[in-house]
Amino acid sequence: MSTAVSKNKFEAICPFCALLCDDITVRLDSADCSVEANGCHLAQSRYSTIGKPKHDRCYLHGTPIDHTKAIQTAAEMISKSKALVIAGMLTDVAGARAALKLAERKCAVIMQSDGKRNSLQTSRVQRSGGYFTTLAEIRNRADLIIMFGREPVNACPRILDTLCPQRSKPDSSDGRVSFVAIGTPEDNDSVFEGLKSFECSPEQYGMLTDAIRLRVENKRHNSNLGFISDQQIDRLTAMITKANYPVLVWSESDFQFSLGDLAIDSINQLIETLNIKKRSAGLVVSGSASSSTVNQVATWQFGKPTPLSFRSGKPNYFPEIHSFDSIEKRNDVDIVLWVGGLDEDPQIPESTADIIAISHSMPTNSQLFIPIGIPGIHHDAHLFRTDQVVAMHVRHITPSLLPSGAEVLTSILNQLEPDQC
Amino acid sequence: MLTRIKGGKIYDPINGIDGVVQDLYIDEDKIIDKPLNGRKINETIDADGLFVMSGGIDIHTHIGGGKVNIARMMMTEESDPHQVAHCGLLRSGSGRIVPSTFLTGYEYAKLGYTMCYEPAIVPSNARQAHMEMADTPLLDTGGYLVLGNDEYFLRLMATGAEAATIRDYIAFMVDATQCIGVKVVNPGGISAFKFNQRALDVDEPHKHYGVTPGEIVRTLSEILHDIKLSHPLHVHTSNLGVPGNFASTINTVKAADGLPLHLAHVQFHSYGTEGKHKFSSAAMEIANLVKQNPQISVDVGHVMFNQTITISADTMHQFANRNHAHPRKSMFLDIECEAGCGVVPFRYRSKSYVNALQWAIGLELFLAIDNPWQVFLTTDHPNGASFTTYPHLIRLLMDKSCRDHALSTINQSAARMSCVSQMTREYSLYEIAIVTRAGPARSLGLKDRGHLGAGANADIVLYRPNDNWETVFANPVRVMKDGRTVVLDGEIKHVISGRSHRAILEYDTNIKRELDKYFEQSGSMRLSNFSISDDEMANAIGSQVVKHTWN
Repeated sequence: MSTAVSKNKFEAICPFCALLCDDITVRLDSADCSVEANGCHLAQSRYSTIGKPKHDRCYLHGTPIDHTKAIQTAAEMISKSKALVIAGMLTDVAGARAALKLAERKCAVIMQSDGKRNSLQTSRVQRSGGYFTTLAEIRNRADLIIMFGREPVNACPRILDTLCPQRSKPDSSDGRVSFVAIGTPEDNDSVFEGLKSFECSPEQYGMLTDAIRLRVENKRHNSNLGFISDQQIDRLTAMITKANYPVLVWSESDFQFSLGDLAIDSINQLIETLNIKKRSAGLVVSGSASSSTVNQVATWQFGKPTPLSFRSGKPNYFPEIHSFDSIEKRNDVDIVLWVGGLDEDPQIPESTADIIAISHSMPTNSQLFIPIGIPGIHHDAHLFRTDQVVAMHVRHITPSLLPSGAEVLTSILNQLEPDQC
Repeated sequence: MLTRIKGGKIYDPINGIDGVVQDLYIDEDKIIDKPLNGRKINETIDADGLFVMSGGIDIHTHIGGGKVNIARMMMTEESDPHQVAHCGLLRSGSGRIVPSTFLTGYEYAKLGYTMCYEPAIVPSNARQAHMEMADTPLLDTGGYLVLGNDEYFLRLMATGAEAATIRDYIAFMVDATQCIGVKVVNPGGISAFKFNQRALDVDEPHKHYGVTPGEIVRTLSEILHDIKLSHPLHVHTSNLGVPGNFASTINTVKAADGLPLHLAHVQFHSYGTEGKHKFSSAAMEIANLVKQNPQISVDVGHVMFNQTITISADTMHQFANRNHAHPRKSMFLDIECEAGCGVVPFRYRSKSYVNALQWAIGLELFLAIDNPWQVFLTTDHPNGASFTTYPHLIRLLMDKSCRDHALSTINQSAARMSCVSQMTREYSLYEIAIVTRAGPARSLGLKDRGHLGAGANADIVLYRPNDNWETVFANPVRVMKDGRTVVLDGEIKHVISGRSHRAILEYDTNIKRELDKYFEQSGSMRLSNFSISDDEMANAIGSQVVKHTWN
């Protein structure tokens, strides 16, 4: 359990985004919960709902059933399935271990959310590698932070304070850390107020970073990009070359456009070039801690991240063909098992297949619903931070009668006949 | 449950038994003396014609942690063709060079290994390393904590902190991360690289902190001696892979001033600058160093000719080697003001002068270091080669004709630059038992491992002799873990979880007050969330803890 600072107050680790801030103080009075210190708007909103679960009963076709019956029904449905798809995966290490075991046993395809988002950063690492850093390195050593787009802040509301705590301190006008925002005018709202900013859309990030790289390499000084002047590029280049440890921050979500992978390559190539003469690194910000968590577990257990297909009994990683849409089109699904926990309202894609939802809130389109606790709130959980290096042991705030996702999945597994591959 | 292993030829160097035929008795998971008359033997295993050793112990193998997982993810070229399906007891997985965790456990067990030590656990990544090792079945595990490049330690050094303060800090860190030893990687060099220092030799000051690698090694080795950690400071010395680095290796030992050290993957640190390629063997100099310093031990980090992937906390030298990457990709991380990580795929080629000489240097070290208790068999998996090449390496050590044949197939300039062809030594089974289990167990202070005497854990391997030692060591007849047969004739019969071995050290808990402030100001988490408890290990990470103390 989290550390109590007084009768109803706890120091807690917030599991609701991939920063896993561990400096928040939570107040819990009966069923009412609030964040008293250091909570962002996301934490305030999510903690306010944890005291009383929306659903504490299992439902089959909208009718309440008891937990034992629900597990038995899920096991029967999954036993009969010939094309199981496990989606969502908004879970912790224990949930990932159990879901991957089930996927393997049932020759299932397993993916995060609906598998639509391509793993651009994973592909980049597999093609070329990269230069990355972690939160404490940035806090202590970065003298220039360049953030692309608004998405890192959307995903992790406290990221600016986390990476650059001096920003929020009144006595921090020593100029030690420069912070630059690159994005569209809409991105440059109050969050970025007072920061140096350069206007550029996500589709233009690659061109901009290529132009900077060519200047760093002393190869070309006239870019004529149109959306940004050469003088502005020169100014940005000068800041980067002057800095001792410039860190570039981006989120994959901003690169979900045609040739987004090339834009990610360009940012990585700039970092690579900078490292020839000085030090520099990148940080990729993901929204949910479950994203890093599930990929880490899948990679150590099977050698590959998600999405994974065990249809052949072996772990196959073909992200292009294992999105939910493409599986649905191929009619390669007869049961969808949605594993939630950290999601507020499960967004299960429409499917012709029956849907079993193991989640904290009941989705509208599930045939069978089994409620579970929220990882790190109702039960202890291991989650990985956005830098993919640090795993935190997130201790629960309030005990719950609801089981964890891992417990439910393990109960289902225990009712299956062994070795169905 | 009482089991007798009947009539096997025992090789048990810790108890001085060299090929004596005698029975072994197992009571549940422990080896016991011959039971008194009247006690019923439940099972007899006929070992007539077989020889018997305790379970193998790999003292230096990268099997868990962030850098290993990066390597797994990066090497799709390697993992795609090597996929294994789930079948019965066995989980699926992929990869041969850096196999996924289940496959790692199965493959080690099939080779007769029952215990492995991850040599580079970065403090902030300790949870992940332990979680990966918990998912590696059939092996007991443990790890060495990477220190000596962490800002807190370097600040203490730079500000002349009292020895007691540094000692309490080191002991606390080992305790908080559930480790059994301490490793220093390129002492101070990982940190120096963060300050854009591209080289750092043993007596050269870190440009920001002003301390030298020699001072770091001396301080850490003194402290480990003082806090009575069994395994001495595990050192990846300065100038990894750099021609002429044997001098740094010698100077590192000098810096420790007679204190015990373990020199890791010493093959990569035994290079001279002779010859037209300015790259030569300095294995004899290092072998002499080992001979003259009985307080030091080494593991070799032998290379084999094949594709592999190199993974190290030594970002400074991994970065320098990135242009040799094959396939052409590499990944680097600066980690939490504690350490770093560099992952560079590499292909060792027998026709390459440098690679061929590296292969020969490994053999020279094995053959020239007289005392087998000072040298342990490793490939620094996967840096020199995968651990799956151990049977071939053992054959090279035991069979001169095999060695001579191999030597005739490599780059001949390298063969001529090596003295391997003149080395007639062939390892005996007794010596193999020392370098693969007894020596590591003694170095790590594991009283109930690495031997077959009463009280030892019943980790036992039965081998069938054959003219081809590679065949022998690749195909143990039976492997027992905790008294249960887990491998029989190459087939896994039972899958059981291993345990995690850790040190219990005493320290003044007041160090936590200072560390609390440091974590608050400079860390990215609170100190209270950093430490891993035994309870967390057992109930959430998935490994029961075995505690060790030494007095």
